[in-house]
Amino acid sequence: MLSEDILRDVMAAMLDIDPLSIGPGTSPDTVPEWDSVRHMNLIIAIEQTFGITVPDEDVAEMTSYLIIKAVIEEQLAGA
Amino acid sequence: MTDGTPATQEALRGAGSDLAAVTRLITRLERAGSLTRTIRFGLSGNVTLDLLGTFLRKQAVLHGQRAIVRVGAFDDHVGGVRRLAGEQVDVLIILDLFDALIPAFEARVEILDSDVVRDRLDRYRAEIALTLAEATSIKHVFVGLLHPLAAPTPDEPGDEIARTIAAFNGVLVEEASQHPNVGVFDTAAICARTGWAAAHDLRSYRRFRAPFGSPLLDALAEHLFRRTRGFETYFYKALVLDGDGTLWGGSIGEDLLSGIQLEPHGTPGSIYWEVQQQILALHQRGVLLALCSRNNERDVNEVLENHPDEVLRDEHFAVKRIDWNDKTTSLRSIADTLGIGLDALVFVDDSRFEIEAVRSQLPMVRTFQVPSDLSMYPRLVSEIREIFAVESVSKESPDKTEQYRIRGLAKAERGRHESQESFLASLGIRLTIERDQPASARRIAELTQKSNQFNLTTRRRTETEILGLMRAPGSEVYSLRVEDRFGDSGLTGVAILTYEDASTAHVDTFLLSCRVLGRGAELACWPMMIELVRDRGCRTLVAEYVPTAKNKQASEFWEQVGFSLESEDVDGRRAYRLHLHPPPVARPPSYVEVIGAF
Repeated sequence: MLSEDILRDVMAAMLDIDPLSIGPGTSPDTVPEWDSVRHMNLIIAIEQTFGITVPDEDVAEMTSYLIIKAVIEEQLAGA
Repeated sequence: MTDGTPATQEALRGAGSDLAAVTRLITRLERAGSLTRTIRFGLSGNVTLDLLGTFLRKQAVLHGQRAIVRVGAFDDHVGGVRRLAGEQVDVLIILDLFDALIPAFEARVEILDSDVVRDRLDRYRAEIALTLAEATSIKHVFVGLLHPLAAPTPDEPGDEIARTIAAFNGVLVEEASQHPNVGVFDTAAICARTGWAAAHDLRSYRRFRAPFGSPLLDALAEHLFRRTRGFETYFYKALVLDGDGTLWGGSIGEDLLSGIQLEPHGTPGSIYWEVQQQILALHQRGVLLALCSRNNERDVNEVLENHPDEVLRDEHFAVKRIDWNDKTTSLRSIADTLGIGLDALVFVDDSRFEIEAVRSQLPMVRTFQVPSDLSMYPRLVSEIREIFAVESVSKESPDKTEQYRIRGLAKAERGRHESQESFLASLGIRLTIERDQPASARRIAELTQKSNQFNLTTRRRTETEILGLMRAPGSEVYSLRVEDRFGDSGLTGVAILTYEDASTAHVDTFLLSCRVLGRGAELACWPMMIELVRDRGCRTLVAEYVPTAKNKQASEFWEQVGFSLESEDVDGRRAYRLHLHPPPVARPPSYVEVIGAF
């Protein structure tokens, strides 16, 4: 089961934003700090923290809180 | 928030390479606002290196500093490094992945035409040569040796990949050796340390062209900070050792000479014997040793003099404190006798109690406890060796112990003379002044790096910078050597003069190693140097005193030479002036013979 608190903490740390500001609509459009370098670090941190492998085709798609959450849940369920 | 800093640092140390936790803790420490200095890093590589920035920031905040990291141009060292040099980075790190020099190089190394490989090698040499030429203004440049993505196979030593990598590395080392500001690190050795499996992230290599795993980058950043003493934030000079349980097994007071464990062919005696060999090697590399034991002095001296397997003898210790005082008192007294700060001491003891007592009362002393699993003890001493960064100690350093012993003997001699003056006169002190000697640049740079107490301006310089000042027409680098009848202290003083215009000379740097202070050399050198400045046609000599936490004792120095105070700002920084026409009246100490070797 995915802990949303942990996900919010990871995103907050990697994007350098307030965890309380993270909601379903959080995306590169609403977070100016979310550049390609931060995106790379975010994916690496998500894989480390949740012990999953993000499929290649999803890496570029994981650009909102809701999609990120869905991808992690799918991988956790498959594991 | 500041109160939480040590706890946050501790958590960061324990976070290893967990990227989310590390990033969160770094950000917290950077915002806490207790960081004293900023270091600017530039990164250049043929693959994505951004993640290294995170681990450089981690090491920086652990050393109380803030790192600003800039990344050069992707796969364009020359252009990227030119830009980074323009942005005035303090440190440049160049790290390439062999496999990316030609796409999938490892897979193709046996297939490719040998001319293609040779062409690439030639281009690599040209790239590295041009890149390092662009980087000459950068203080520290570190280049990583090329390495394979996986551990070399054990059954084919010298296979084609290994042979090709060795050829490229040969070129790299050759080019690097032409630049004194460039250091090379062995990337494969760091991979071996972190484990080859964790060193690379092949998924991330494919996706982001970022092949280096967090554990490798974490270990690399740690290595670079160690090797540069945290980019000059610390400088350990002396290793203080307990006796019982640290240098030998058992207790000399209870087990007596025949009962302590130190025999090279038994257990655990062989471990202590091996550790003593390691410590002896450190001593030979210039680290000062001190013995600090709560014991009867006679008992411990008996071990040093008469135990057949004792490796470290009385002459290896620059100072000994064998009494019943607590260790904090003894450590203070050791630092005082050696004339160095407590923050230059590393202390090893087997007792948890002693270690904790020192940690809580003297947090600036670096402490290590002998591991309870003794078989790990030699590895701990290897770690200690790394923090002394002994590789960079110049050749003049090894007989330091002898010089500190000479200083001790001279202190004893002082007691027999009624006045300080007659004592000094009896020493037969000779001061030799040399100018712009490139062979001494390394030692001079080392003195600017570590002299704190008698240092008027505390400007740290690298060997490259010293060589530059020697060559430039507008500056001169003087070195001072002091000897007396107790021995030769070697090159122990530095003066750097710059000529701002035809009539004004400026004392940029003046320092003397504290072990030769108090013998008049600091005053005796000036009449000759003032004469040299006058010979150049200068009418004025200006000097300054820049206060630091450690150089209070030098604050009144320029007045003693005859300078007059011009101004003092709010930070206590003082500007001085000496008119050279008519010539100032010199009052050099009569007991120092000054020799100009120009």
